[in-house]
Amino acid sequence: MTRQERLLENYEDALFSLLMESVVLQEGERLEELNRKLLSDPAAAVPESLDRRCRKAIRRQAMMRKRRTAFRGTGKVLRAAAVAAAVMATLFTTAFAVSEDFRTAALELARTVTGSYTQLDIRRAGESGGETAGEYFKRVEVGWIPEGFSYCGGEYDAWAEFENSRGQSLRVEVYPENELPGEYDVELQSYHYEGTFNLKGQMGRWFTKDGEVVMDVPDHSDGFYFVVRTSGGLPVDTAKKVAENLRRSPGAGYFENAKIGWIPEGFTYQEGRYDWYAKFQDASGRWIWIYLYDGNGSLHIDTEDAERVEDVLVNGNEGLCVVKNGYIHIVVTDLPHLLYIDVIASDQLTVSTVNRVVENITILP
Amino acid sequence: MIVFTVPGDGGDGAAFMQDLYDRYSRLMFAEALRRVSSRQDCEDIVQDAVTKLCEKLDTLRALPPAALPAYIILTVKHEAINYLRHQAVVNRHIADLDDGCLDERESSEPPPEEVAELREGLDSLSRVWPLLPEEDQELLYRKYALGQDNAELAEAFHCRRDSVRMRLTRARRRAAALMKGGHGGDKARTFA
Repeated sequence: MTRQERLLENYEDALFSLLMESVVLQEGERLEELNRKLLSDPAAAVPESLDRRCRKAIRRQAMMRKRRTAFRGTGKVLRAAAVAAAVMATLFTTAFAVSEDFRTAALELARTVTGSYTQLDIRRAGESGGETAGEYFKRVEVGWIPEGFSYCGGEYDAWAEFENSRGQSLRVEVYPENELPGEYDVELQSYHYEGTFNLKGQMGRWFTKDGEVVMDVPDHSDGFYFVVRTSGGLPVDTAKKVAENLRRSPGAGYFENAKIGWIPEGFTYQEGRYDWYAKFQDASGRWIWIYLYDGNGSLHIDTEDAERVEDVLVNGNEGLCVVKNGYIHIVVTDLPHLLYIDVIASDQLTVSTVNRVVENITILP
Repeated sequence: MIVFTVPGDGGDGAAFMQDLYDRYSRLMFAEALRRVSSRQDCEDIVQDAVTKLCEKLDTLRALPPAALPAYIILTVKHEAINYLRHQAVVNRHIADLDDGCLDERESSEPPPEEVAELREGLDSLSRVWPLLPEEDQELLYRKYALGQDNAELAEAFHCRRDSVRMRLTRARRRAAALMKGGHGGDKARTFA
Protein backbone atom coordinates (compact mmCIF):
# COMPACT_ATOMS: atom_id res chain seq x y z
CA MET A 1 0.00 0.00 0.00
CA THR A 2 1.42 3.37 -0.96
CA ARG A 3 1.59 6.23 1.47
CA GLN A 4 -1.15 8.05 -0.40
CA GLU A 5 -3.41 5.00 -0.27
CA ARG A 6 -2.81 4.70 3.45
CA LEU A 7 -3.57 8.38 4.01
CA LEU A 8 -6.72 8.07 1.93
CA GLU A 9 -7.83 5.06 3.96
CA ASN A 10 -7.24 6.92 7.20
CA TYR A 11 -9.25 9.84 5.87
CA GLU A 12 -12.14 7.60 4.82
CA ASP A 13 -12.08 5.88 8.22
CA ALA A 14 -12.29 9.18 10.06
CA LEU A 15 -14.98 10.53 7.75
CA PHE A 16 -17.19 7.48 8.08
CA SER A 17 -16.78 7.44 11.84
CA LEU A 18 -18.27 10.93 11.80
CA LEU A 19 -21.00 10.13 9.30
CA MET A 20 -22.06 7.04 11.25
CA GLU A 21 -23.07 9.12 14.27
CA SER A 22 -26.34 10.13 12.61
CA VAL A 23 -26.87 6.60 11.31
CA VAL A 24 -26.60 5.19 14.83
CA LEU A 25 -29.27 7.59 16.06
CA GLN A 26 -31.51 6.93 13.08
CA GLU A 27 -31.22 3.16 13.30
CA GLY A 28 -31.67 3.26 17.05
CA GLU A 29 -34.94 5.17 16.70
CA ARG A 30 -36.16 2.87 13.95
CA LEU A 31 -35.46 -0.27 15.99
CA GLU A 32 -36.96 1.18 19.15
CA GLU A 33 -40.13 2.03 17.18
CA LEU A 34 -40.22 -1.52 15.82
CA ASN A 35 -39.69 -2.84 19.33
CA ARG A 36 -42.57 -0.71 20.66
CA LYS A 37 -44.88 -2.20 18.04
CA LEU A 38 -43.80 -5.71 18.92
CA LEU A 39 -44.28 -5.10 22.63
CA SER A 40 -47.88 -4.06 22.00
CA ASP A 41 -48.61 -6.95 19.64
CA PRO A 42 -49.86 -10.08 21.44
CA ALA A 43 -48.95 -12.22 18.43
CA ALA A 44 -45.31 -11.23 18.80
CA ALA A 45 -44.95 -12.72 22.27
CA VAL A 46 -41.95 -14.94 22.90
CA PRO A 47 -42.91 -18.60 23.49
CA GLU A 48 -43.01 -19.48 27.16
CA SER A 49 -40.52 -22.33 26.78
CA LEU A 50 -38.00 -19.99 25.16
CA ASP A 51 -38.60 -17.39 27.84
CA ARG A 52 -37.76 -19.93 30.56
CA ARG A 53 -34.63 -21.07 28.76
CA CYS A 54 -33.34 -17.56 28.19
CA ARG A 55 -33.90 -16.47 31.78
CA LYS A 56 -32.14 -19.62 32.93
CA ALA A 57 -29.23 -18.86 30.60
CA ILE A 58 -28.98 -15.35 32.05
CA ARG A 59 -28.94 -16.70 35.59
CA ARG A 60 -26.31 -19.27 34.69
CA GLN A 61 -24.04 -16.68 33.10
CA ALA A 62 -24.49 -14.35 36.06
CA MET A 63 -23.59 -17.16 38.41
CA MET A 64 -20.43 -17.86 36.45
CA ARG A 65 -19.41 -14.22 36.55
CA LYS A 66 -20.06 -14.00 40.25
CA ARG A 67 -17.98 -16.97 41.22
CA ARG A 68 -15.03 -15.79 39.20
CA THR A 69 -14.90 -12.53 41.10
CA ALA A 70 -15.81 -13.90 44.53
CA PHE A 71 -12.71 -15.96 45.20
CA ARG A 72 -10.65 -14.65 48.04
CA GLY A 73 -7.74 -16.54 49.53
CA THR A 74 -8.46 -16.16 53.24
CA GLY A 75 -12.11 -17.23 53.25
CA LYS A 76 -13.03 -14.36 55.54
CA VAL A 77 -15.67 -13.14 53.16
CA LEU A 78 -17.22 -16.60 53.00
CA ARG A 79 -17.24 -16.95 56.79
CA ALA A 80 -19.02 -13.60 57.07
CA ALA A 81 -21.48 -14.66 54.39
CA ALA A 82 -22.18 -17.90 56.28
CA VAL A 83 -23.05 -15.94 59.42
CA ALA A 84 -25.23 -13.57 57.40
CA ALA A 85 -26.94 -16.51 55.76
CA ALA A 86 -27.73 -18.09 59.14
CA VAL A 87 -29.29 -14.82 60.33
CA MET A 88 -31.17 -14.41 57.08
CA ALA A 89 -32.58 -17.91 57.46
CA THR A 90 -34.92 -16.64 60.15
CA LEU A 91 -36.15 -13.92 57.81
CA PHE A 92 -36.57 -16.28 54.86
CA THR A 93 -40.28 -16.90 55.22
CA THR A 94 -41.23 -13.25 55.44
CA ALA A 95 -38.92 -12.14 52.68
CA PHE A 96 -40.07 -14.98 50.47
CA ALA A 97 -43.68 -13.95 50.81
CA VAL A 98 -43.09 -10.25 50.31
CA SER A 99 -40.50 -9.85 47.59
CA GLU A 100 -40.69 -11.39 44.14
CA ASP A 101 -37.04 -10.57 43.50
CA PHE A 102 -35.99 -12.30 46.71
CA ARG A 103 -38.17 -15.25 45.90
CA THR A 104 -36.55 -15.58 42.52
CA ALA A 105 -33.06 -15.30 43.95
CA ALA A 106 -33.75 -17.83 46.70
CA LEU A 107 -35.35 -20.25 44.22
CA GLU A 108 -32.35 -19.97 41.99
CA LEU A 109 -30.04 -21.08 44.66
CA ALA A 110 -32.05 -23.84 46.26
CA ARG A 111 -33.77 -25.63 43.42
CA THR A 112 -33.32 -28.72 41.31
CA VAL A 113 -34.56 -28.24 37.80
CA THR A 114 -35.64 -31.26 35.83
CA GLY A 115 -37.23 -31.52 32.44
CA SER A 116 -40.74 -31.72 33.87
CA TYR A 117 -40.66 -30.03 37.27
CA THR A 118 -38.69 -27.78 39.57
CA GLN A 119 -38.06 -29.06 43.08
CA LEU A 120 -37.44 -26.53 45.77
CA ASP A 121 -35.04 -27.53 48.53
CA ILE A 122 -33.26 -25.72 51.28
CA ARG A 123 -30.05 -27.53 50.71
CA ARG A 124 -27.97 -28.47 53.71
CA ALA A 125 -24.35 -29.61 53.67
CA GLY A 126 -24.05 -33.23 52.70
CA GLU A 127 -27.37 -33.39 50.90
CA SER A 128 -27.72 -33.85 47.21
CA GLY A 129 -30.76 -34.02 44.98
CA GLY A 130 -31.80 -36.14 42.05
CA GLU A 131 -29.31 -38.34 40.36
CA THR A 132 -26.12 -36.84 41.68
CA ALA A 133 -22.66 -38.17 42.07
CA GLY A 134 -21.50 -35.55 44.55
CA GLU A 135 -22.27 -33.34 47.43
CA TYR A 136 -21.15 -30.14 45.72
CA PHE A 137 -21.82 -30.79 42.04
CA LYS A 138 -24.59 -32.63 40.25
CA ARG A 139 -22.39 -35.10 38.39
CA VAL A 140 -18.94 -34.52 39.77
CA GLU A 141 -17.54 -35.80 43.03
CA VAL A 142 -14.60 -34.17 44.79
CA GLY A 143 -12.72 -37.36 45.59
CA TRP A 144 -9.89 -35.91 47.66
CA ILE A 145 -9.35 -32.88 49.87
CA PRO A 146 -6.15 -32.33 51.92
CA GLU A 147 -6.36 -33.25 55.56
CA GLY A 148 -7.55 -30.43 57.76
CA PHE A 149 -9.66 -28.79 55.06
CA SER A 150 -13.43 -28.50 55.33
CA TYR A 151 -16.15 -27.09 53.13
CA CYS A 152 -16.80 -23.41 53.81
CA GLY A 153 -19.08 -22.30 50.99
CA GLY A 154 -19.98 -22.34 47.34
CA GLU A 155 -22.80 -22.62 44.86
CA TYR A 156 -24.20 -26.02 44.17
CA ASP A 157 -23.10 -27.42 40.82
CA ALA A 158 -20.88 -24.38 40.16
CA TRP A 159 -18.08 -24.08 42.72
CA ALA A 160 -17.08 -25.32 46.14
CA GLU A 161 -14.49 -23.85 48.49
CA PHE A 162 -12.61 -25.51 51.31
CA GLU A 163 -10.28 -24.07 53.93
CA ASN A 164 -8.18 -25.06 56.90
CA SER A 165 -7.47 -23.44 60.24
CA ARG A 166 -4.37 -21.70 58.88
CA GLY A 167 -6.37 -19.66 56.38
CA GLN A 168 -5.27 -21.67 53.38
CA SER A 169 -8.04 -22.41 50.93
CA LEU A 170 -8.77 -24.31 47.79
CA ARG A 171 -11.65 -24.04 45.41
CA VAL A 172 -13.04 -26.31 42.73
CA GLU A 173 -15.02 -24.89 39.81
CA VAL A 174 -16.83 -27.00 37.28
CA TYR A 175 -17.86 -25.68 33.87
CA PRO A 176 -20.14 -28.01 31.97
CA GLU A 177 -20.07 -25.91 28.83
CA ASN A 178 -17.03 -27.59 27.31
CA GLU A 179 -15.04 -24.37 27.36
CA LEU A 180 -13.98 -21.75 29.81
CA PRO A 181 -15.67 -18.36 29.70
CA GLY A 182 -13.76 -15.52 28.03
CA GLU A 183 -13.44 -13.60 31.29
CA TYR A 184 -11.39 -16.46 32.72
CA ASP A 185 -8.58 -15.92 30.22
CA VAL A 186 -8.69 -12.19 30.85
CA GLU A 187 -8.30 -12.84 34.57
CA LEU A 188 -5.30 -15.12 33.96
CA GLN A 189 -3.43 -12.42 32.10
CA SER A 190 -2.25 -11.11 35.46
CA TYR A 191 -0.99 -14.54 36.49
CA HIS A 192 2.35 -16.12 35.68
CA TYR A 193 1.97 -19.02 33.27
CA GLU A 194 3.96 -21.95 34.62
CA GLY A 195 3.28 -24.58 32.02
CA THR A 196 1.20 -27.59 31.12
CA PHE A 197 0.76 -31.01 32.60
CA ASN A 198 -0.91 -34.23 31.55
CA LEU A 199 -3.85 -35.37 33.61
CA LYS A 200 -5.41 -38.66 32.52
CA GLY A 201 -4.70 -37.90 28.89
CA GLN A 202 -5.90 -34.31 28.99
CA MET A 203 -3.56 -31.35 28.84
CA GLY A 204 -4.00 -28.95 31.71
CA ARG A 205 -2.40 -25.60 32.41
CA TRP A 206 -1.26 -24.01 35.62
CA PHE A 207 -0.58 -20.44 36.70
CA THR A 208 0.69 -18.76 39.86
CA LYS A 209 0.39 -15.37 41.47
CA ASP A 210 1.19 -14.23 45.00
CA GLY A 211 0.97 -17.66 46.56
CA GLU A 212 -2.06 -18.65 44.52
CA VAL A 213 -2.13 -21.55 42.10
CA VAL A 214 -4.75 -21.79 39.37
CA MET A 215 -5.03 -24.96 37.38
CA ASP A 216 -7.45 -25.67 34.55
CA VAL A 217 -8.04 -29.04 33.02
CA PRO A 218 -10.40 -29.96 30.21
CA ASP A 219 -12.23 -33.24 30.37
CA HIS A 220 -13.34 -33.48 26.78
CA SER A 221 -14.45 -37.07 27.19
CA ASP A 222 -17.24 -35.82 29.39
CA GLY A 223 -17.61 -32.22 28.26
CA PHE A 224 -16.41 -30.59 31.45
CA TYR A 225 -13.79 -28.04 32.27
CA PHE A 226 -12.37 -28.01 35.79
CA VAL A 227 -10.58 -25.20 37.54
CA VAL A 228 -8.79 -25.76 40.82
CA ARG A 229 -7.49 -22.77 42.75
CA THR A 230 -5.40 -22.82 45.88
CA SER A 231 -4.08 -20.02 48.03
CA GLY A 232 -1.99 -19.44 51.08
CA GLY A 233 1.09 -21.02 49.61
CA LEU A 234 -0.29 -24.51 49.10
CA PRO A 235 2.03 -26.50 46.82
CA VAL A 236 0.99 -27.08 43.24
CA ASP A 237 0.92 -30.84 43.88
CA THR A 238 -2.05 -30.28 46.17
CA ALA A 239 -4.03 -28.66 43.38
CA LYS A 240 -2.99 -31.46 41.02
CA LYS A 241 -4.09 -34.15 43.40
CA VAL A 242 -7.47 -32.48 43.87
CA ALA A 243 -7.86 -32.28 40.09
CA GLU A 244 -6.82 -35.91 39.66
CA ASN A 245 -9.47 -37.03 42.07
CA LEU A 246 -12.42 -35.22 40.55
CA ARG A 247 -14.68 -38.07 39.54
CA ARG A 248 -17.37 -37.72 36.90
CA SER A 249 -20.40 -39.77 35.97
CA PRO A 250 -19.60 -41.01 32.48
CA GLY A 251 -21.39 -39.16 29.74
CA ALA A 252 -22.45 -36.30 31.96
CA GLY A 253 -21.65 -32.76 31.04
CA TYR A 254 -23.01 -32.18 27.53
CA PHE A 255 -26.67 -31.85 28.36
CA GLU A 256 -28.49 -30.54 31.39
CA ASN A 257 -30.75 -33.57 31.81
CA ALA A 258 -29.26 -36.29 29.66
CA LYS A 259 -26.33 -38.65 29.79
CA ILE A 260 -24.53 -40.16 26.81
CA GLY A 261 -23.88 -43.70 27.95
CA TRP A 262 -21.97 -45.03 24.98
CA ILE A 263 -19.89 -43.70 22.09
CA PRO A 264 -17.95 -45.96 19.70
CA GLU A 265 -14.36 -46.55 20.64
CA GLY A 266 -11.94 -44.03 19.26
CA PHE A 267 -14.46 -41.19 19.15
CA THR A 268 -13.69 -38.10 21.19
CA TYR A 269 -15.61 -34.94 21.85
CA GLN A 270 -14.89 -32.17 19.33
CA GLU A 271 -17.30 -29.33 19.89
CA GLY A 272 -20.79 -28.49 20.96
CA ARG A 273 -23.13 -26.15 22.75
CA TYR A 274 -24.18 -27.08 26.23
CA ASP A 275 -27.65 -28.58 26.41
CA TRP A 276 -28.06 -28.37 22.65
CA TYR A 277 -25.61 -30.56 20.74
CA ALA A 278 -22.32 -32.41 20.99
CA LYS A 279 -20.08 -33.58 18.17
CA PHE A 280 -17.74 -36.55 18.38
CA GLN A 281 -15.16 -37.63 15.86
CA ASP A 282 -12.52 -40.32 15.46
CA ALA A 283 -9.06 -40.21 13.97
CA SER A 284 -10.27 -41.24 10.51
CA GLY A 285 -12.75 -38.37 10.39
CA ARG A 286 -15.96 -40.29 11.05
CA TRP A 287 -18.36 -38.13 13.02
CA ILE A 288 -21.41 -38.31 15.24
CA TRP A 289 -23.60 -35.34 16.18
CA ILE A 290 -26.01 -35.69 19.07
CA TYR A 291 -28.81 -33.16 19.51
CA LEU A 292 -31.55 -32.79 22.08
CA TYR A 293 -34.50 -30.66 21.10
CA ASP A 294 -37.41 -29.44 23.16
CA GLY A 295 -40.49 -31.36 22.10
CA ASN A 296 -42.64 -28.23 21.97
CA GLY A 297 -42.48 -27.90 18.24
CA SER A 298 -41.97 -29.77 15.01
CA LEU A 299 -38.73 -31.36 13.91
CA HIS A 300 -38.32 -31.62 10.17
CA ILE A 301 -36.31 -34.59 8.95
CA ASP A 302 -35.09 -34.50 5.38
CA THR A 303 -36.10 -37.72 3.63
CA GLU A 304 -36.05 -36.56 0.02
CA ASP A 305 -34.17 -39.02 -2.21
CA ALA A 306 -33.12 -41.01 0.84
CA GLU A 307 -31.71 -44.49 0.26
CA ARG A 308 -33.56 -45.79 3.26
CA VAL A 309 -36.37 -44.47 5.48
CA GLU A 310 -37.83 -46.68 8.16
CA ASP A 311 -39.67 -46.43 11.44
CA VAL A 312 -37.67 -47.36 14.51
CA LEU A 313 -38.41 -48.09 18.13
CA VAL A 314 -35.56 -47.36 20.57
CA ASN A 315 -36.06 -47.83 24.30
CA GLY A 316 -39.79 -47.71 23.67
CA ASN A 317 -39.48 -44.39 21.83
CA GLU A 318 -40.79 -44.18 18.29
CA GLY A 319 -38.79 -42.50 15.62
CA LEU A 320 -37.32 -42.54 12.18
CA CYS A 321 -34.11 -43.77 10.62
CA VAL A 322 -32.97 -42.11 7.39
CA VAL A 323 -29.93 -43.04 5.33
CA LYS A 324 -29.05 -40.62 2.57
CA ASN A 325 -26.26 -38.60 1.06
CA GLY A 326 -23.58 -40.28 3.07
CA TYR A 327 -25.07 -40.00 6.53
CA ILE A 328 -27.28 -41.93 8.93
CA HIS A 329 -29.93 -39.99 10.79
CA ILE A 330 -31.94 -41.45 13.67
CA VAL A 331 -34.51 -39.35 15.50
CA VAL A 332 -36.66 -40.66 18.30
CA THR A 333 -39.33 -38.91 20.30
CA ASP A 334 -39.09 -39.22 24.06
CA LEU A 335 -42.70 -38.46 24.91
CA PRO A 336 -42.48 -38.66 28.72
CA HIS A 337 -39.74 -36.03 28.70
CA LEU A 338 -41.08 -34.08 25.72
CA LEU A 339 -37.78 -34.33 23.84
CA TYR A 340 -36.47 -35.19 20.41
CA ILE A 341 -33.28 -37.23 20.56
CA ASP A 342 -31.51 -36.64 17.26
CA VAL A 343 -28.33 -38.42 16.22
CA ILE A 344 -26.62 -37.94 12.86
CA ALA A 345 -23.53 -39.88 11.90
CA SER A 346 -21.34 -40.30 8.86
CA ASP A 347 -22.25 -43.36 6.81
CA GLN A 348 -18.91 -45.06 7.44
CA LEU A 349 -20.59 -46.15 10.63
CA THR A 350 -23.37 -48.71 10.57
CA VAL A 351 -27.02 -48.16 11.36
CA SER A 352 -26.74 -50.55 14.28
CA THR A 353 -23.84 -48.53 15.73
CA VAL A 354 -25.81 -45.30 15.50
CA ASN A 355 -28.80 -47.10 16.95
CA ARG A 356 -26.67 -48.19 19.89
CA VAL A 357 -25.65 -44.57 20.55
CA VAL A 358 -29.32 -43.59 20.64
CA GLU A 359 -30.17 -46.55 22.88
CA ASN A 360 -27.59 -45.41 25.40
CA ILE A 361 -28.75 -41.82 25.72
CA THR A 362 -30.44 -41.63 29.10
CA ILE A 363 -32.77 -38.80 29.94
CA LEU A 364 -32.35 -37.96 33.61
CA PRO A 365 -35.30 -37.23 35.89
CA MET B 1 -25.12 -24.74 55.35
CA ILE B 2 -27.88 -22.71 53.82
CA VAL B 3 -26.67 -20.88 50.77
CA PHE B 4 -28.36 -17.71 49.70
CA THR B 5 -27.77 -15.18 47.01
CA VAL B 6 -28.28 -11.54 47.89
CA PRO B 7 -30.83 -10.08 45.52
CA GLY B 8 -29.75 -7.33 43.18
CA ASP B 9 -27.17 -7.04 40.42
CA GLY B 10 -24.22 -7.66 42.73
CA GLY B 11 -21.80 -7.02 39.92
CA ASP B 12 -22.72 -10.18 38.02
CA GLY B 13 -24.88 -8.30 35.48
CA ALA B 14 -27.97 -10.42 36.12
CA ALA B 15 -30.31 -7.46 36.61
CA PHE B 16 -28.88 -5.63 33.61
CA MET B 17 -29.29 -8.63 31.35
CA GLN B 18 -32.75 -9.44 32.66
CA ASP B 19 -33.81 -5.88 31.94
CA LEU B 20 -32.27 -6.04 28.47
CA TYR B 21 -34.01 -9.32 27.78
CA ASP B 22 -37.36 -7.99 29.04
CA ARG B 23 -37.07 -5.01 26.71
CA TYR B 24 -35.82 -6.70 23.57
CA SER B 25 -36.81 -10.37 23.68
CA ARG B 26 -39.61 -9.86 21.16
CA LEU B 27 -37.30 -7.97 18.83
CA MET B 28 -34.79 -10.82 19.06
CA PHE B 29 -37.42 -13.46 18.37
CA ALA B 30 -38.79 -11.47 15.43
CA GLU B 31 -35.30 -11.15 13.96
CA ALA B 32 -34.71 -14.89 14.32
CA LEU B 33 -38.04 -15.57 12.60
CA ARG B 34 -36.90 -13.41 9.67
CA ARG B 35 -33.89 -15.67 9.23
CA VAL B 36 -35.23 -19.13 10.02
CA SER B 37 -38.68 -20.49 9.35
CA SER B 38 -38.79 -23.16 12.06
CA ARG B 39 -39.92 -21.79 15.42
CA GLN B 40 -37.91 -24.49 17.17
CA ASP B 41 -34.79 -23.29 15.39
CA CYS B 42 -35.69 -19.71 16.28
CA GLU B 43 -35.87 -20.58 19.94
CA ASP B 44 -32.43 -22.19 19.84
CA ILE B 45 -30.98 -19.21 18.02
CA VAL B 46 -32.44 -16.70 20.46
CA GLN B 47 -31.23 -18.68 23.45
CA ASP B 48 -27.78 -18.84 21.95
CA ALA B 49 -27.86 -15.12 21.25
CA VAL B 50 -28.83 -14.41 24.86
CA THR B 51 -25.86 -16.44 26.06
CA LYS B 52 -23.57 -14.57 23.68
CA LEU B 53 -24.91 -11.23 24.90
CA CYS B 54 -24.30 -12.26 28.51
CA GLU B 55 -20.68 -12.91 27.60
CA LYS B 56 -20.48 -9.40 26.15
CA LEU B 57 -21.86 -7.69 29.22
CA ASP B 58 -19.04 -5.15 29.42
CA THR B 59 -19.44 -4.26 25.75
CA LEU B 60 -23.19 -3.82 26.15
CA ARG B 61 -22.76 -1.55 29.14
CA ALA B 62 -20.29 0.61 27.23
CA LEU B 63 -22.47 1.04 24.15
CA PRO B 64 -24.43 4.25 23.61
CA PRO B 65 -28.13 3.48 24.19
CA ALA B 66 -28.99 4.20 20.55
CA ALA B 67 -26.63 1.41 19.40
CA LEU B 68 -27.95 -1.22 21.82
CA PRO B 69 -30.87 -2.60 19.77
CA ALA B 70 -28.73 -2.77 16.63
CA TYR B 71 -26.02 -4.69 18.50
CA ILE B 72 -28.63 -7.12 19.78
CA ILE B 73 -30.09 -7.57 16.30
CA LEU B 74 -26.67 -8.23 14.83
CA THR B 75 -25.97 -10.81 17.52
CA VAL B 76 -29.17 -12.68 16.67
CA LYS B 77 -28.38 -12.45 12.99
CA HIS B 78 -24.88 -13.79 13.57
CA GLU B 79 -26.22 -16.73 15.57
CA ALA B 80 -28.83 -17.46 12.93
CA ILE B 81 -26.20 -17.52 10.21
CA ASN B 82 -23.98 -19.81 12.29
CA TYR B 83 -26.92 -22.07 12.95
CA LEU B 84 -27.77 -22.29 9.27
CA ARG B 85 -24.16 -22.95 8.37
CA HIS B 86 -24.04 -25.67 10.97
CA GLN B 87 -27.15 -27.26 9.54
CA ALA B 88 -25.66 -26.93 6.07
CA VAL B 89 -22.59 -28.85 7.22
CA VAL B 90 -24.73 -31.68 8.48
CA ASN B 91 -26.80 -31.72 5.32
CA ARG B 92 -23.70 -31.43 3.15
CA HIS B 93 -24.82 -28.04 1.84
CA ILE B 94 -21.99 -25.82 2.79
CA ALA B 95 -22.24 -22.25 1.58
CA ASP B 96 -18.69 -20.99 1.52
CA LEU B 97 -18.31 -17.30 1.86
CA ASP B 98 -15.41 -16.27 -0.28
CA ASP B 99 -13.46 -13.07 -0.23
CA GLY B 100 -15.24 -11.57 -3.15
CA CYS B 101 -18.32 -9.48 -3.38
CA LEU B 102 -21.38 -11.00 -1.70
CA ASP B 103 -24.01 -8.75 -3.20
CA GLU B 104 -24.75 -9.97 -6.69
CA ARG B 105 -26.42 -6.71 -7.51
CA GLU B 106 -23.33 -4.65 -6.78
CA SER B 107 -22.39 -2.23 -9.50
CA SER B 108 -18.82 -1.54 -10.58
CA GLU B 109 -16.64 -0.22 -7.81
CA PRO B 110 -16.64 3.55 -7.68
CA PRO B 111 -13.27 5.29 -7.75
CA PRO B 112 -11.59 6.54 -4.57
CA GLU B 113 -12.37 10.11 -5.53
CA GLU B 114 -16.05 9.45 -4.68
CA VAL B 115 -15.19 9.49 -0.99
CA ALA B 116 -12.42 12.02 -1.08
CA GLU B 117 -14.61 14.56 -2.83
CA LEU B 118 -17.49 14.14 -0.40
CA ARG B 119 -18.58 17.48 1.00
CA GLU B 120 -22.11 16.57 2.12
CA GLY B 121 -23.70 17.29 5.49
CA LEU B 122 -23.20 14.92 8.37
CA ASP B 123 -26.62 13.35 7.84
CA SER B 124 -25.92 12.37 4.23
CA LEU B 125 -25.06 8.80 5.09
CA SER B 126 -28.18 8.32 7.18
CA ARG B 127 -30.30 9.48 4.21
CA VAL B 128 -28.92 6.83 1.87
CA TRP B 129 -28.46 4.17 4.55
CA PRO B 130 -31.60 2.21 3.62
CA LEU B 131 -30.34 1.99 0.04
CA LEU B 132 -27.09 0.26 0.94
CA PRO B 133 -26.80 -3.50 0.54
CA GLU B 134 -27.45 -5.28 3.83
CA GLU B 135 -23.91 -6.60 3.96
CA ASP B 136 -22.53 -3.08 3.60
CA GLN B 137 -24.83 -1.78 6.30
CA GLU B 138 -23.72 -4.44 8.72
CA LEU B 139 -20.05 -4.05 7.87
CA LEU B 140 -20.07 -0.27 8.25
CA TYR B 141 -22.18 -0.43 11.40
CA ARG B 142 -19.95 -2.96 13.06
CA LYS B 143 -16.81 -1.05 12.07
CA TYR B 144 -17.79 2.53 12.82
CA ALA B 145 -20.69 2.36 15.24
CA LEU B 146 -19.64 -0.63 17.33
CA GLY B 147 -15.91 -0.08 16.89
CA GLN B 148 -15.14 -3.70 16.06
CA ASP B 149 -11.64 -4.42 14.83
CA ASN B 150 -10.71 -6.39 11.74
CA ALA B 151 -10.40 -9.64 13.69
CA GLU B 152 -13.95 -9.33 14.98
CA LEU B 153 -15.21 -8.34 11.54
CA ALA B 154 -13.47 -11.32 9.97
CA GLU B 155 -15.21 -13.60 12.44
CA ALA B 156 -18.58 -11.95 11.89
CA PHE B 157 -18.33 -12.25 8.11
CA HIS B 158 -16.51 -15.57 8.01
CA CYS B 159 -13.68 -14.25 5.93
CA ARG B 160 -9.97 -13.64 6.30
CA ARG B 161 -8.73 -10.50 8.00
CA ASP B 162 -6.99 -9.43 4.79
CA SER B 163 -10.26 -9.24 2.95
CA VAL B 164 -11.95 -7.13 5.62
CA ARG B 165 -10.01 -4.03 4.56
CA MET B 166 -10.98 -4.57 0.94
CA ARG B 167 -14.63 -5.06 1.83
CA LEU B 168 -14.63 -1.93 3.95
CA THR B 169 -13.12 0.09 1.14
CA ARG B 170 -15.75 -1.13 -1.27
CA ALA B 171 -18.56 -0.51 1.19
CA ARG B 172 -17.39 3.04 1.87
CA ARG B 173 -17.16 3.82 -1.81
CA ARG B 174 -20.58 2.39 -2.56
CA ALA B 175 -21.97 4.53 0.22
CA ALA B 176 -20.15 7.55 -1.12
CA ALA B 177 -21.56 6.93 -4.59
CA LEU B 178 -25.08 6.84 -3.15
CA MET B 179 -24.46 10.02 -1.22
CA LYS B 180 -23.45 11.73 -4.42
CA GLY B 181 -26.73 10.59 -5.94
CA GLY B 182 -25.39 7.85 -8.16
CA HIS B 183 -27.93 5.12 -7.23
CA GLY B 184 -31.09 6.95 -6.24
CA GLY B 185 -33.62 4.40 -7.43
CA ASP B 186 -32.53 1.30 -5.54
CA LYS B 187 -34.95 -0.52 -3.23
CA ALA B 188 -34.46 0.27 0.46
CA ARG B 189 -32.95 -2.46 2.61
CA THR B 190 -31.94 -2.69 6.24
CA PHE B 191 -29.89 -5.20 8.14
CA ALA B 192 -32.69 -5.42 10.66
